[in-house]
Amino acid sequence: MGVNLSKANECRTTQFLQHMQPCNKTYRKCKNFNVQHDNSTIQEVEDEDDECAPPPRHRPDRLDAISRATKFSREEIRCVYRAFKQECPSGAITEATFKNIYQKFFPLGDSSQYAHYVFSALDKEQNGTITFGNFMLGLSMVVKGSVQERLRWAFTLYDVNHDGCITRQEMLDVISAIYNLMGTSHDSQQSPQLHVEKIFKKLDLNHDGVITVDEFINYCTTDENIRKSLTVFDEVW
Amino acid sequence: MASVAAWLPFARAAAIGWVPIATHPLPPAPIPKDRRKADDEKLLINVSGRRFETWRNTLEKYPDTLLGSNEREFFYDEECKEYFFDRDPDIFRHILNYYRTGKLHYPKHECLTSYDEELAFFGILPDVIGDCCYEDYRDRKRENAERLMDDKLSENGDQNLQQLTNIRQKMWRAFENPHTSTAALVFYYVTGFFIAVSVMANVVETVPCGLRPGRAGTLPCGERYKIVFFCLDTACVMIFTAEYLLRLFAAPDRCKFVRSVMSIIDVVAILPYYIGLGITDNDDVSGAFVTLRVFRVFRIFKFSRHSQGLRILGYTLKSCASELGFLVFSLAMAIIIFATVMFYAEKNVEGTNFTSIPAAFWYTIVTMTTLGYGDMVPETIAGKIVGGVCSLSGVLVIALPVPVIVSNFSRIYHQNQRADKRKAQRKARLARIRIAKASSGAAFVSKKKAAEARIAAQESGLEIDDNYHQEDIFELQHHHLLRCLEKTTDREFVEMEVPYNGQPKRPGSPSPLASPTHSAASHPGLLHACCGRCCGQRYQRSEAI
Repeated sequence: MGVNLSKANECRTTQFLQHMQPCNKTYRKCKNFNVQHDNSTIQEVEDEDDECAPPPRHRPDRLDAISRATKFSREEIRCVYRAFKQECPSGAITEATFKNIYQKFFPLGDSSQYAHYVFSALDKEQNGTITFGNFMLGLSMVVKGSVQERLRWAFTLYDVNHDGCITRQEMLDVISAIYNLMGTSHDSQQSPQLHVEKIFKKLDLNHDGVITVDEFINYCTTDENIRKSLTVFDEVW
Repeated sequence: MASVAAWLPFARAAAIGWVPIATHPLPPAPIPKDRRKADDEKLLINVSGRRFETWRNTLEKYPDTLLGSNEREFFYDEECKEYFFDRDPDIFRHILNYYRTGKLHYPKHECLTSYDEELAFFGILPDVIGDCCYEDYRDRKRENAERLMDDKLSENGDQNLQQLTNIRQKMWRAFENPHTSTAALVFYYVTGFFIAVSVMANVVETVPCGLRPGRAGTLPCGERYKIVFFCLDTACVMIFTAEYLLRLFAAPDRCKFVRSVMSIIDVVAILPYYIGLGITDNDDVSGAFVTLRVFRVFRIFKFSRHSQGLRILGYTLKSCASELGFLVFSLAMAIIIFATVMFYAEKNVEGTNFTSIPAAFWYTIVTMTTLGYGDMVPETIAGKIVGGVCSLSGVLVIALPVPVIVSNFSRIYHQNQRADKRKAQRKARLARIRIAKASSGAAFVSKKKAAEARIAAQESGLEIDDNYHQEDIFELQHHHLLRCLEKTTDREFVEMEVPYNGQPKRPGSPSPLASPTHSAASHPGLLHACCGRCCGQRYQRSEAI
């Protein structure tokens, strides 16, 4: 057909040129590779002419081992893994996929910040990907753990930099992210601030400006309302 | 939503993080009526014998499609416990993959229409086709639409043959399609001839024939045989004027016609004559008069009604307008640059031709198009270098857009050729299809008559022929229905003796079952079932039952 330099073709040409970036090549000639189980990456030795690293592939541990470690039944793990593998064929979930999933649950607002915080609370190694095994461990703690364990997990959600204490700024960030889930139609400027002040007044008993783990857990176990609300999430599975 | 249903428990569990900061107590959790099925169910889908299995959750990802909604229950086969679809299994594979992966692909080897039909059946919008295949799909769809529109237009044109009510429409059709009647063809050739005559006259009247009496110089033929040429011109203009007025009268939308390109060409072709009649032989305006005669050359464009190639060329140029614009723009840029440099390089040479930058434009144009008249030549070394670069780059700049225009022309020309060939073949194809339909219709009617004859024989107690095949209940019911129709309308279906002779039918007519035969003279476009009275003697039973 003719080389038609009409506008449509010009757009296509520029798009084509933009996509000509050296990456995302999945075909590789690999000389030798190590296959490690138990949530390790399958590494491939790069050839000299390879321009970018191949996407990592993870294989989870054996079903029995995961079942023992996480106290889920085999059927439950199978169910979760099928959904997991469907969303992340590489075997490890990235933050982007996580944000995607949360976007489907909270379509009205902007869920990316909140998803980021939940992700970093789950990501034990803090390396940007969560393998299936770690995901199941996290899930098990959140779903089947004791009250203490769950509250501890909630603490890590708010403790963004994982230094053991929640500062005002951290709490403000997380609460703003939670408010963002509702959407921007609400007045989002003042409410998080006020909310943070209220929380800090209630939780920060020694008034040192930060909330520690003990203060957090103490408060949550003693407050009536919170104790009642905790039972709401007892039977999520 | 079912695509992330499996993640919901995690999201709910993670919501425990909201508990410490909740301003109000959280609502209690919903209690499922029965224990939530941990296992998903596998569904069996049988598409024309090929079995597909998938999880129910996979299908329910898209609840607004057939498979994802309750609509699939209509296709459930209780005995085999599967969903049965009598559709194309190859295309179904892609549709099922859409549910599995979320991306709908378009296979290039499949026919677009059949693919579209499958998508429509399963309730999937073509807009969800993935980016990898979407462009291809759209291109083919456009191609198909153009082709079908061409066919439909010509079909409409054929059908409109019978529908002209007044003389205006007839005239317009004659003007637009000269091959529809002899008069139109005559008109077409006559106007073509006169256009040629007029153009030749314009050309010949400037040829010198003989010397000027009493003065130096030659006399052009136009002045020598002034009267002859004037008569010729008048005749041509009268024909053109008459043609224009007739077209204006016959046009269905006069405003649109007046604005169209061909009409403007017509007007420009005949106006100079009338203006020239009006202007007296005054020296002041004779210059203007001469200019007007130039416009007579536009008559040659009237040939585009007669030549399809010319029309295609015009259309190509129109469609390559952007490339042509690019060419002109880049040429203008290059000309200005080179002319400026040449001027400043050559301006100090004595007696130079490069007196100004616009003067250098002429040099640049002549050089870039590699003409090289030699009337302006650079003398300095810098000028010569610049001239060299100018001529080298000229070739490039001009050669770049030319292939684009050429390939566009070629594509459009071939499209036109294919369209013409299709139109020519269409008539023969349609005729064959009509004959096939008519013969199957005839076979049906004769079967029906035979069945009725058998029933009549049974009723009157005659011996029945045991060799006939048992008719199935569907056919019997169909025959019965037609009998009811006959009784209702007091007419009878006529048995056809000859195959249908390919007469055009009125659109929306009933099936060829009701075609006339005994009137051998054709009533084109009129279909009627014969009333029983005039053919009564051909059939066993009378109409009165």
